[in-house]
Amino acid sequence: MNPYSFPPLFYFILLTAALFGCATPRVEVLPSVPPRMEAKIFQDFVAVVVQEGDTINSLAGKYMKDPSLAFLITEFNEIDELRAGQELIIPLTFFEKGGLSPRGYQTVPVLSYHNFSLAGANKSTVTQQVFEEQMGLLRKKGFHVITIDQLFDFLDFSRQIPKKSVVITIDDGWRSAFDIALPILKKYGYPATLFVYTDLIVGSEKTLSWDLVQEMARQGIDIQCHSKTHRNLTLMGKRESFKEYVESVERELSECAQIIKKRLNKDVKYFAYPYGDTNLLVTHLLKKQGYRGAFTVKRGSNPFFLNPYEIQRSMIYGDFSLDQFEKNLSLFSDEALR
Amino acid sequence: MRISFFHHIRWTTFIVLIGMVFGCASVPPKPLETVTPPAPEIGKAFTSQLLETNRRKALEYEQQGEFIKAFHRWRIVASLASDDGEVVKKVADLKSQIQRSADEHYNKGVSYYQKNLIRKARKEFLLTLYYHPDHKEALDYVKNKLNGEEFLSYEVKEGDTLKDIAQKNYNDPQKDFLIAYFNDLGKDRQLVPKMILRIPILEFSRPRSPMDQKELPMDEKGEIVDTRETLNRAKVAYRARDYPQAASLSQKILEYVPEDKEARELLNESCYQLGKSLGLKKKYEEALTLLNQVELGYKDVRKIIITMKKQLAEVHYVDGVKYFTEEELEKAIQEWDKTLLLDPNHPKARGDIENARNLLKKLKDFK
Repeated sequence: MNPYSFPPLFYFILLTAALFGCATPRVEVLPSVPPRMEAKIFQDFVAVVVQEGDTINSLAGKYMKDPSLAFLITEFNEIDELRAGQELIIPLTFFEKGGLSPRGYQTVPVLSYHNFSLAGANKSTVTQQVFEEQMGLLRKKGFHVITIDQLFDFLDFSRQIPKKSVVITIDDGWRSAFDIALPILKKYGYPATLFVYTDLIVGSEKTLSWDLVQEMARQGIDIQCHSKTHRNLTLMGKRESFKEYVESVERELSECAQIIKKRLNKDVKYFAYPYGDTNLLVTHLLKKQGYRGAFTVKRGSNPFFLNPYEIQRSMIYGDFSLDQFEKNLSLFSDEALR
Repeated sequence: MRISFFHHIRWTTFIVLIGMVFGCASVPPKPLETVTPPAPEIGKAFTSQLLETNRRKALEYEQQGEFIKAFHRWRIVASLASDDGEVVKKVADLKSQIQRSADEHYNKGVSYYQKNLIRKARKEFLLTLYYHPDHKEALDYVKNKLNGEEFLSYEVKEGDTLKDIAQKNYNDPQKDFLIAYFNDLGKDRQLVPKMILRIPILEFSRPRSPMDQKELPMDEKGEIVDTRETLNRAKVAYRARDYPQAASLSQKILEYVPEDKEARELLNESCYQLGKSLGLKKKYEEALTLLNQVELGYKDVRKIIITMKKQLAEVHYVDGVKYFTEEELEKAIQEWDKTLLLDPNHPKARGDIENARNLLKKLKDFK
């Protein structure tokens, strides 16, 4: 048969098939149930199906670009753990800044320690065992130990922090902060701030040296100011004129910062008042010198609207039972707003 | 039949045209669209559970009055089920309701603030922030304005020196260096008229923590008396040397919080200053009324009161003498009695009373 004698329809079918067939993906048999997607991103949240191997931190890292925001996932979804196949919402915005609700508002406890010992406690000295138990209790009860920077982001109303947030601070500069507190803090992975009064940092048997302070800073401890000589900044000396008193307070604030800058190459931002005492003149001077905030030892937890130069801290006494310790961990003020 | 070249061309053209109309490699094959889960609907495959969870949560939060949490959940439901017109409308309604609530609470807060009802104002501003976390004005009130004044403003006048200004504001010219320090005035301390200086309020005016104000007293109308704000107003009045206002406000605080040391100090100092000043104007009675409100151990108030009583006693004595010379003996005796009440050791009053009474008796007998 003469090939040219094929009917035109034959050519049409042949060429059309060739034309479409060459560039077309193969049509496969599709599953009757559509595959489950891993995630779908919306404007201010991501809908996610948890995959094998996912953790809350990995999801926070992947979708929020910050694993430290993992608490937003657990708190929004009201969950403690993940399981593969679980469907979750990952919020991409803060949904409860300041911990405000019609029932009240979030408060953040700040713990204040001074000295530690292997045995033998007093008002300002906590034993190693008790400190370990207290840190263990924070872990067991699901507390998030946050940094002072995070606390101040909360106070500035710029960031949400975990509902169960707590801050750990240690005052003065005793050697036990390195020998006893640091290993326990490291064991739990807790951040802490050491407020040093610089005249104490002489490297004696009982006090820290600058080498040790540097080592603590290297190991993640935040070093901040607690004055130079630990004088009570609210009391004018009997032989001081008012001008001499003001100049002395100014030096306590500035020289402490200068020494830390020189030793650690670090700009300090926070101050702990010696004896926890302050007055308006001292806070004026702190602000003038660029401090972001300061800490008293007035017992109580802190709402976001507290004066940042009068942050309350609860001193943890050496003879506290665990129950007494826990009473200093108030997380919410149920002062109903409506 | 032999197909001609033109005939062949005709078929080729037809095929090419078909190819052009339907496209070739660039167009996805139709069948895939019908059998593959389409992109927007992929959500449906795994979000049915999420949809239900969030819808349930939204309703729960609404019932609990947690409208913001409910709003977040409804927004999620609306995003997951964007074709659900009812949910989309619900979100829009909630959004406008939330905006209205934020506005209402903010306006209430401002109103309370203007009435110095600080605690009530704080609650309203906190609720504003609950509804509208980006409300900058409400945040400013909560973080700054409600915590009280820390500086006073002072407009420099022609001829003012820093020592003058320190004297006016601190009653102490030696505090001039503080004003220079906080206003970044250099060594030359150049002051220019109409320049505004920030005068730091010192310890006397320290604002107290809002956490101190858990239980605030209420007045007879059931309004909360915000003692901290009242105290701040008293301090401002004191600095402006408006002693009557400072005394009146601190007295109000002490009615509710008798142990308030700062209010007591303000009352003492205001009444002391006011009393002394009235004493200089020889308005002894008013001065003594005020000085009697000052605690007796305060400064030299005991001595001033004694001196002023003697001065007032003398005034009454002289009035008594006037009445005596005008032969108004009963009125004279009344004045001298007042003299003795104020100064029991007055050298003449007792004798003059006796003399006047004798005269009165004689006059009665004579009549």
